[in-house]
Amino acid sequence: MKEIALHMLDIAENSLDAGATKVELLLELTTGGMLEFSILDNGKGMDDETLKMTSDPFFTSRTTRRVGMGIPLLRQHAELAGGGLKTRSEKGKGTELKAVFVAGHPDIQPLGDIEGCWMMLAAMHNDVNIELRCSTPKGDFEISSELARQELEVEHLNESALRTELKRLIRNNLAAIGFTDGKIDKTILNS
Amino acid sequence: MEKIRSLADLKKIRDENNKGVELRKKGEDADKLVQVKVAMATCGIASGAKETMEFLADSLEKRGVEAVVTQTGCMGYCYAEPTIEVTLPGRDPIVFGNVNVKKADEIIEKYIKGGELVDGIIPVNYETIDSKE
Repeated sequence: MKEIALHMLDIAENSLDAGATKVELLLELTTGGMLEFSILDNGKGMDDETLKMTSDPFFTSRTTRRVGMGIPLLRQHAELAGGGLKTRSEKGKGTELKAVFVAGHPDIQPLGDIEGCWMMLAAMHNDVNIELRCSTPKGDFEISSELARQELEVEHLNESALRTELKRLIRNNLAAIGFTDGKIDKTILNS
Repeated sequence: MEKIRSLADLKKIRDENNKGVELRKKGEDADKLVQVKVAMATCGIASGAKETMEFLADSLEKRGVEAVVTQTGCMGYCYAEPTIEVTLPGRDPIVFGNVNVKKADEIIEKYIKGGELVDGIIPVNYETIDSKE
């Protein structure tokens, strides 16, 4: 995993597998210089024991292989960048995962292709609402796939021209709040 | 703090889109279409499946191939990620391994368009841990 956006895509798949109809992807740069990345879903949730096991790379619910490295890899990358990972879950209600990074840390991964990852999730899951909310001291931006489908009056967002336009829209809006070209703008970090 | 009104921007996109592109309904007669499944679990994503998927979805549409591109979980061939499964109408599914953008291009041009097999096929008798047990 080279980018935080790819972790986003990867962890969101867990939420979708858990039958979530709403997945919230949050990316917040705090005034204290921390980058907080969270995923909240309303999927089937986990009991405490299963939740503890998610940080074990040799635990998975799959049958095609014996390892499950999605969450362990994210935890590793967060810890490498001076942060950490927290999870909370309630059976039948949903799951919440939060990874924190020191935004100016030399070992932090780049943000990466956030718009591409949201777009892929939004285009592939017509019956799920994928929300993306980003905020920095410079401003905030949010987009939801349900709202996008309603406003654009389409059943799905999986059309090449539409995807390109939506990605451009998100990219421009992210750049305006200091998430430029998949990186955190140095000027907001130093201010 | 400036709040960006994505709603207004979206409406603009819709109006521009309605001019030319008519949105097609896919998946109604899926067995007549080319079906491509991209493995998008942790192993796939870490190996570049996102780029492969974006390339396939965009290129097939641009090159006028009637295809449904979907994502699937790990097929058990983590060593060969990104992997894709291609099903041509009326044919058995074939799994290709190590499908980067270049390989995906070759698969579209030779296998999907011409039915010609290309290197990188994962044979069906390969056993995953699931099938061994």
